[in-house]
Amino acid sequence: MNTVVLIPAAKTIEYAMFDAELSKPVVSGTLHAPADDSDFGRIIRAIEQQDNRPHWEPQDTGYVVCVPYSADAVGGPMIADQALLEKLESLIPAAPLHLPRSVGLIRACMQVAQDAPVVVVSKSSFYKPLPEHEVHYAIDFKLSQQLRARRCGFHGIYHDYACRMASDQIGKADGKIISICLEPRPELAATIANKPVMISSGMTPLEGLCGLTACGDIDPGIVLELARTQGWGADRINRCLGQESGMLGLIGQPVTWEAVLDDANESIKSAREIFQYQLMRQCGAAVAAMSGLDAIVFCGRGSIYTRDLGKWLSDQLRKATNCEPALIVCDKPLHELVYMQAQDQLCQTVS
Amino acid sequence: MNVLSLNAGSSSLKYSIRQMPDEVVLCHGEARRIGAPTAQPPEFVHHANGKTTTTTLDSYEYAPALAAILEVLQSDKSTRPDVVSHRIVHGGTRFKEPEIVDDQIVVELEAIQHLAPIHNPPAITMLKICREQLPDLAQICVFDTAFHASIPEYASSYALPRELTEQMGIRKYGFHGISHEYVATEAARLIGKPLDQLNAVSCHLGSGGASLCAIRDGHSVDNTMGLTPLQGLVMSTRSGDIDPGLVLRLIHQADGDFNKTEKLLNKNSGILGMTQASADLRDLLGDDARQDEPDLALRVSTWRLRKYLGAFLTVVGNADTIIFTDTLGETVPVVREMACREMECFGVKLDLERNNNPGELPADIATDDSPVRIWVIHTDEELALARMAWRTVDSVAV
Repeated sequence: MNTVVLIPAAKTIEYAMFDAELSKPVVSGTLHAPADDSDFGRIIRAIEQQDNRPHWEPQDTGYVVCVPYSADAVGGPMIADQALLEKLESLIPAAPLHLPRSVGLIRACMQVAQDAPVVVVSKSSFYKPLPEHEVHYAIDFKLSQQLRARRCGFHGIYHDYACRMASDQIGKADGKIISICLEPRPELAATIANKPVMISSGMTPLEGLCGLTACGDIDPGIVLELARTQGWGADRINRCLGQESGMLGLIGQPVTWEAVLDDANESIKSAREIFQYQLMRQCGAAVAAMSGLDAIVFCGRGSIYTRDLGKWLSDQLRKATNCEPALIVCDKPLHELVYMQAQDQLCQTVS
Repeated sequence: MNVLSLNAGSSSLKYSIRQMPDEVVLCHGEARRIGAPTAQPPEFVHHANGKTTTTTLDSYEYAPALAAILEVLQSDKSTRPDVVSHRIVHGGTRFKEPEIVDDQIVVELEAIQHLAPIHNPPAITMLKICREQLPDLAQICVFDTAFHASIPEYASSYALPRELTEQMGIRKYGFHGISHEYVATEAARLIGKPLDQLNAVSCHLGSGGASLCAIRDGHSVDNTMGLTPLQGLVMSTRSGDIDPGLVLRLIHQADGDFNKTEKLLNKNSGILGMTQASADLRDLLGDDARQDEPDLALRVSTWRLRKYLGAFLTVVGNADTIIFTDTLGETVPVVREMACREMECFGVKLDLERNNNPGELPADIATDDSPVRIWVIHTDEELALARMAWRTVDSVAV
C-alpha cells in the first residue's frame, strides 16, 4: 500500500508520499497550513497529484497523521475512527494551538480515504511510561488537575527510534540512553530499556533546553516580572518567550543549529556556551535519573552537526562520572520515522 | 565588640550576639512562626547563660518580634550590641559585598525588594527599626546573593532577548550564599583542603527555602535559584521550577492578576500545594520517618533534588564532597538517601547506617571507600553574618 504521511505543525504541514514497493518517500515537502479546515481535502489531493507515476492508485493509498499531543488517547499507532476523533477533541483545551489542526486533518483524510486506513501516530505516546514523580509540578494539586498540568515531551517519535537504534548498536536491550533531539525546540530524554524516566520539556515546549527561538528553563518569577515591569499581557509574553528568545534573542538574528554549533563568531560562541552548559546540566540530571549511562544518541534535523558537541559532552561526563558513553547519530527525517511506526498498523489493516 | 546578627527568614527571625573576633556566643534565639498566621501562636525563644526562656508573642508581624528581641538584649549590659549585621536575601546587581548602611542604601534596597518578595521586605523593616532604635550603631548588610557573583556568564544567563535582560537586570543571582559559603568553608577544613581548592555541591535544605550550589575551587559556579528565590527545588510553599507556559496559564486562570499568581507560586505551592495539608515535608514521613510508598510530594521534591545533584556534580566535574545542611538537610535521613542512593556512577557511596544515625554534627555519612565524601554540617548563618560584619567594620577602622 502506498502511504501519505502528514505532520501538521503550528503554521505548516510536512508531507511525504511513500511508494509501497520502494519503502521510501517519492515526494516530500512542506506546505503552509490552510486557515480553514475545509481546505484540508484539497491539500491532500494536491499532495497526491505531485506524484504522477502510473502505478500510484489513490484507492490503494493509506494515510498517516502525526498528532503532537494525545494524552492517553493514543498509545501506539491507531486506526482513526469517530471515537478516537472525539477523544482527541476533548484534549483540545490542553493543546489549543496544535490539536484542532490535527483533528481537522484526520477527519479530512478519513473522508478522502473512504475505505483505506487512516493511522494516527502520536508524538506524545512515547512519554506515557514517565514516572509520576517526573511529570508533576509542585503547585496547588486541584489546580494542577484542572489544568492537566503535567510535564510531557514533543519529540517522542525521534526519541523512540533513536533509543532503539542506540540499544541495538551497543547491544544492550536494557541500556541507559540519553537521546538529544536537535530540532528548533530541542529536547533531551533519559531512557532505560527504551522507556523514558526523565524529559527536559514541560507542559509546553517553552520549558527545557533553550531552542532557536524559545527561552527554555527560566525562573517563573521572570514571567511575573515581565507582566509587572513591561505591562505585557499573556500573548505578548508568550511571543517573547517562544519566538523572540533562545539563540535568536541571544545572538540578535535568526540562526540554524549548524551555525550555533559550528560558527566562530563571538556572539554565536557566547550563545553556544549557554546552550552547551544547559545541555550538560540536563545530561548530568539524566545520569542521576538513570543511575548510569551507556550511550548518547543525537537525533532530529540538527543531529548531523553534533560531532564536536558530542565529544565535549562526553568529556564533561567522564570528568564527573565513571561512565563511558557511546556516541551515536540518528539522522533519519521525521516523516520516515512516522512512516515506519505506522507500517504495522497499515499492513494489518490491509491483510 | 558585640555583633548582633539578625536573620529574617520567611517564617522566623533568628538572632545571636557574638563577641568578636573570638566568636563567643553570649546569647541567641529566634522568633518562630511569624510572617503569616499558623495553627500555633508565634513564640519567642531566648537562650542565654545556659537558660532557655520561651514566651508567646501577641502578633505574627516581624516588628513586634524584633522589639521583643531588642528589649531582652538591652536589659543585660553584657548583651548590648555594638554592631548589627543584617541578612539581606537579594542584593540585585548593585550589592556584591557587605555594606555599611546609609540612607541611600536603604532607598536602593527598597527599589529591588520585589525581587525577593517573601524575604527582602521584612529584612528592610528590621533594618529601618534598628537604625531608628539604635542610631549610634553601625548597621551592616550582608547579601545572600554576594557569594554567587562568581557564577560565570554562561551559567547566569537566561536565553532571553539581550536587550530585555540588560534593561531589566535579569540574570541568575542565586541565594543562600551566606550558608553555602559557611558550610563550604567548614567542609574544606574537615577534608583538610584549602577552600580555594574545594570542589563541592552544597545542599541547603531548609524547612522553608532550599537551594543547591555548585562550588568549584571554593567559588560558587551555579545555584538552583535564579532571578528570584522561586526557581529550582520544590520548597515548603514555593513551586520551584515550573514551565513558563504554565505560569501564563495560571495568570490567565487568575484573570490576569499576576500578584495573585505570584502569591500562589510563592505561598500556596510546593509541599503545601501538593499535599493541601502541610508545608512541612517532615509531616509526610510518618512515625518512623520511613515509608514504603512515600507520598507523591516527597517523591517529586526528592526526585528534583536528585536530578539537580546529578547536574551540579557534572558541573563541578571532580567533586570532593556533597554537603547537606539546614533543617531538612541535617535532620531528615530519608531525603539524603533518596538523593544519594545508587549514585555510584558519580563516585558517591552513601553509608545507610551512618546516614540514619549520623550522631553529632559535622558527620561524614559516606562509606569508607566512597571517592566523594558526604558531609552533614550544621549551618550557622548568624556566625557567618557576625564574621562578615566584623571584617567589614575592621577593614573600615584600618
